[in-house]
Amino acid sequence: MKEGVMKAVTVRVPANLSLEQSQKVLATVLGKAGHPNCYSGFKISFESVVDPANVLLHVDKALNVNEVGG
Amino acid sequence: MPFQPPRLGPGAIYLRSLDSLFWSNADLIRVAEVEPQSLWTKGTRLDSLPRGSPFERRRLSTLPQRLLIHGVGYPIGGTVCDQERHIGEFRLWTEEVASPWVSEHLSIMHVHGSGGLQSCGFLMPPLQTDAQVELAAGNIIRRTAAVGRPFAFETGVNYFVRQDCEMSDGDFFAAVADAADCGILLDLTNLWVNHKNGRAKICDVLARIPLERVWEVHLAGIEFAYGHWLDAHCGEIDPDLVEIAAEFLPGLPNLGAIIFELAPDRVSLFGEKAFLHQIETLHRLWETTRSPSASTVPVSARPPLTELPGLTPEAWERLIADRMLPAADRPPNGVPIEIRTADERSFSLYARLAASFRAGAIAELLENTTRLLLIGIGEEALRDLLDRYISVTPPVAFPTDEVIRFRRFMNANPLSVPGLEDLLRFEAALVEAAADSATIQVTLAKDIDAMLTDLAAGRLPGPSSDCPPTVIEIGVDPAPFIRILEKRLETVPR
Repeated sequence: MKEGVMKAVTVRVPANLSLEQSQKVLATVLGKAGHPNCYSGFKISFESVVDPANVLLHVDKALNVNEVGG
Repeated sequence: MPFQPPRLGPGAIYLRSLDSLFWSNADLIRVAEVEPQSLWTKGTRLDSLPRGSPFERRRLSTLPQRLLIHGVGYPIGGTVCDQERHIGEFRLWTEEVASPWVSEHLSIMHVHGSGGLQSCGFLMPPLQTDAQVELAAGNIIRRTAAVGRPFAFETGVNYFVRQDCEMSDGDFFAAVADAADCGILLDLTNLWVNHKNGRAKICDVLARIPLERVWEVHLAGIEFAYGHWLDAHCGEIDPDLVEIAAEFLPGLPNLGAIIFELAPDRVSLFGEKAFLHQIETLHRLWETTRSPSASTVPVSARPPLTELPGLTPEAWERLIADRMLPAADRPPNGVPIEIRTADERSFSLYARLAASFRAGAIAELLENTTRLLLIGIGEEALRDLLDRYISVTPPVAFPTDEVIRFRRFMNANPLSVPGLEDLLRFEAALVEAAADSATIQVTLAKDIDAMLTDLAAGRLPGPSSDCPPTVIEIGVDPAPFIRILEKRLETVPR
């Protein structure tokens, strides 16, 4: 009688997930793991992911308001 | 003799993403202000202490600028004020970079929730009463002794309307500085935001503070949203504020540094050229301080306050906890003070800003999971999902903890989106490995590369991303690595 079991076979780094790229991915995570800096406005990272072309930032001196955040 | 800070000059908050700019523009950027906690990593265990990299600390100490240490995350305005847990690491950084003085925020971050001490998710302003002055001054005196460096508190932004029982902003800053015998990090942008929001005229505030205690000035860009001007650190300093600074700064006899602040998530949009242009503006302001002329105008006694019984620092923090925490985490028995309509509006803004930080942390550290959710359920449903998560999960100080909590929430509230379970497991494992400096193995039933390719093309992962269960190993020691331990089903004799 036989049954399927998991068994580690090889260790490899595939071409499309290269070591260098992998390190970059992880380094990016490491680089963003810290405490937020000390500002009291909107953080726009979520908006940047949701709609990178539509991140609105400023109000000009004529009070043309671009709303920030969701 | 009171501390007299060395004249360091103009500079900027150090950001990793601008590291090369600091190295290549030493003549222009004279001071690098390091916010050490923003460079630390906290383990995923609830009680783990955040830690910095000794390598990064040593490297920063060799920057061509003079260095200053500015604390974030452990403000000195509340009844909860850490004087132990983070101090050891903070001292290491302060000593390594030879910071002549250190600073932190005159704000509140931690409150008592139903389950104990809890981050409220945002830097909140303290009440401006005599009891609060006494509390903050005591915190500053203890922090100064613990860190072993002269200390300056930062003047904060305040989106509330001042109450009759509170002293004016300028009187409050002056009272705290005098009681603690410390320096002031004067954030002119915060004062400018308060001015533009109608809270306090900047000229009135500046007329009340002890000029000789101002050791450092912060300047940054502001923006308008949801009915308020915000201290967003979003780019160019308002030219009107530059004019005010040019008039005011020559009156500061002990100014040691002028620092430009830019939020990390605004760097790519603002650009390096514009950043350096702001430093040039700071140089022009710095030139005006060469021959400081201290004001000799006497400051009149502050007017008496109308006491409001029960409005203690503890009651104020209880109100903050009640308005900023999810229902299940609020302190029991409600709030012992009456709330004005204007305060409710301000709390609503603070909650919205705090939510933007939380959603931003998830988007930054779980970027591909966020993209997958966006494609899979649409923007409106994604926003609803995050709102639901935030409404039931208390805030945390470090974004890595936020990610771990979001993963738990998603595990408890699964969604039928192709590849979501595997992608979230993969990205959360990256965060966990980074946060804990651990090597983690995670089993996936989808080919991550194929999924990322699909996501990059704006489509849901298709059947081509299905693969036999595969174990991926992720670690950070000695250098970050991800490797695939390929596993496959085999038939073996029992």
